[in-house]
Amino acid sequence: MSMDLSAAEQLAQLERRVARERLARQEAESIAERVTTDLYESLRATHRFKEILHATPDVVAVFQPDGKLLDLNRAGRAVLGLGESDSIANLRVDRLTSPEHRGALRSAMASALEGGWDGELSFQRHDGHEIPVSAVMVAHRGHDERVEYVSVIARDLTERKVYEAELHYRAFFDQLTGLPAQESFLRHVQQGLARSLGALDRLSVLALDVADYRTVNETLGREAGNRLLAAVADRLHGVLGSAHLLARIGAGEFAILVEDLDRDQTEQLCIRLVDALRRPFVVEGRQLVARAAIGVVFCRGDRDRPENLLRDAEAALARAIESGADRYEIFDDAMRMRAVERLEMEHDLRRALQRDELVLHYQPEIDLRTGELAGVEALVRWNHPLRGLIPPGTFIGLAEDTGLIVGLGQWVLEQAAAQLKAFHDARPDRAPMFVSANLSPRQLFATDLVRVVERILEISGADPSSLLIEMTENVFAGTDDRTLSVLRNLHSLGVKLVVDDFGAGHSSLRYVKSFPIDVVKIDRVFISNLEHDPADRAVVKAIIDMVHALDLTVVAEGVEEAPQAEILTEMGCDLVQGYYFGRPVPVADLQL
Amino acid sequence: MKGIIFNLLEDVVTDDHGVETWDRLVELSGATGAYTSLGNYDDSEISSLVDAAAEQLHQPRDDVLRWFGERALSRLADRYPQFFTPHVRTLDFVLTINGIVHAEVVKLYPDARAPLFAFDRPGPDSLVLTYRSARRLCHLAEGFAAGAARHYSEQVRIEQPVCMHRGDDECRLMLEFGMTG
Repeated sequence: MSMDLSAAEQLAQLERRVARERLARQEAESIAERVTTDLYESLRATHRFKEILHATPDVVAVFQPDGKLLDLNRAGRAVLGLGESDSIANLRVDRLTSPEHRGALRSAMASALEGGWDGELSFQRHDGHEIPVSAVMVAHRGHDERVEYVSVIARDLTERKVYEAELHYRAFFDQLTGLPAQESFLRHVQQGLARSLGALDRLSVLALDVADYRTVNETLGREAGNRLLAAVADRLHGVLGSAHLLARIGAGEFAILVEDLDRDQTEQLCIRLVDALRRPFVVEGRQLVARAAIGVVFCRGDRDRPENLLRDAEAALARAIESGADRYEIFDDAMRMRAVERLEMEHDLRRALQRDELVLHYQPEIDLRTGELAGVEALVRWNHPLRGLIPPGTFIGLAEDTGLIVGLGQWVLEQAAAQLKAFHDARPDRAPMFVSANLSPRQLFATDLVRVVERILEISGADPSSLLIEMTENVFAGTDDRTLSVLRNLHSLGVKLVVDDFGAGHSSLRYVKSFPIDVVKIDRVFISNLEHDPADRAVVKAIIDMVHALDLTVVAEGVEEAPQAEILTEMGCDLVQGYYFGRPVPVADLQL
Repeated sequence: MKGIIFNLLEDVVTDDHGVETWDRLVELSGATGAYTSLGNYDDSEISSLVDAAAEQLHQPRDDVLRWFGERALSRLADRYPQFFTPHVRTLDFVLTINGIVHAEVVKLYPDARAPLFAFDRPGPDSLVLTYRSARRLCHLAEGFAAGAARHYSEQVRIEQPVCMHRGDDECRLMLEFGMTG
């Protein structure tokens, strides 16, 4: 019995043992499956990473702290001239650099082992070619914090270096002629000033403009323009020799540093330069002329800065160009005064906008059929704190040149619209009068004009149909779609568009017909002699008839005498404006 | 605790005391008794098994751990000779535990939490191992050290003047080696 029990116990014992073993085996199998799956995923991830590392154009190398290479990607192998399957087993990382750059690599490695390093290194390709690289080196630590391996990722800087060198070259040398460019020229002037201490009056800077370069460019093409310019540079160089430095500082503009010549000799040199260019050039089988204008400035002391000398030479050049080609002008005190005055005025004008120094005057426009005031033209005046009232002719050009016209023009529109509303509120029971304001061509594209005008109308509450916007003919002469689109959008706001000074410029019947125009203003030149000149009368009559045929309104400007008004009335002119009917006056002086 | 430790314990118990003893230890301790080397098991299981062994073999718990470590080491040396053959003496082998042995353990068992020892060498033939672990298995470490000395046919005197079991923050195993005659 006890034997049986013992056998039963033994059997139970064995069964428990078998159960334990089975359980352990099942668990081992499930762990093995999980590990195999994890391993597969991990291998795939590693493979992906390896593919990326191999595909990158950057050099990726992994090495032991002692420098022995463990892994090197395709780009790295290319540096060493190794194929994909070549072994790197016995190579060290410093094989990537030439012997003279190994010190730099080693010190980078020392820094990497202490944390990390980044900077520039020089690799050497197997053919001996040096490759500048930007590199990052990192030490990777293991279980016990000891460095297991170091990785370096290096990017080829060759292209960037070439690009930087080219940028540097471009800043200092003109591509076309190989001459020094402006930056370099100014440095030479600086050195010239230092050299000429004691004889500064024998140093001068010339700015030379090739008048016909742009014409050649526009008519025969850029290539021909460039060839002409290269030939001009050669010829100038022939005159100057190595005594004076020639530079190209703009599209058709050269600068010359003249050293050790007195005033007379410098003027002689200018004449020789102008003469040299008078002889025709032959470009692409054509004879071309490239007349020059030169501006000269003599050094005025050791405080003269190169930039100022060049600026003044260019101011003199501008004067020479105004006087016509084949000329030179010497910068003098009068030019300096003008330049200074212009600068001052620009400064003042900038402030004028902020300080409310601008005012609008209004000139009446009379309806010839009723003899009543139909509207006014708003004309800007500058109430200068020191110079008094300045007429627009003195400052509008400056505002145009400096871009101040955009802000100024917007201010005029705002004031005009506000005034328009005030007129309507003051005489609600009478026929609405209009206010006409001038718009510069620069405003047309400077900002989102249409939105600006829309806002002005909104804020002022003025009736759009009584706001007239005057533009000179040259705005309409532009044939581009953009001009047309801006004008159409402007017109769709309800404002009326006026062609100012019609007949003075490139009057074209095409634009009068196709552009959204409401009013045509006949230029004063046809009016001033109207009662005496039958030709003027014919022209004015023709314009009036044409404008009426197009169902537009016609205004005659510059009416100063009663007979002129009578003739215009007979001709059926709608509106007139001029001293005979009223000068521009402040709003308070208007006879409403 | 990794399953391999349980496997080693089963092996040495079975070798020295027979398979029935292991059966009894499993039953007494209430452990599952089913272990695979790659698996992870609760630390309390090894503790219960050691307690059961102490009771069953009428030995103090610390001695059971020393015996287990010493006997387990010879099995490890058979299974992983690559860790042992580069060295001719215990001291050099022990010094590789952190950097090489445990680094390899992590490769086989990525989730293993191997202890990190600090080493100090007061003399050419002596070594102080500082051990800090919540498992507090310093006596097992003593056994491993003794097993390693036996493997290299060296005498070793092992003392623990500082021990977590006596309220210290860490354990300090002082090993003094001497050649066998």
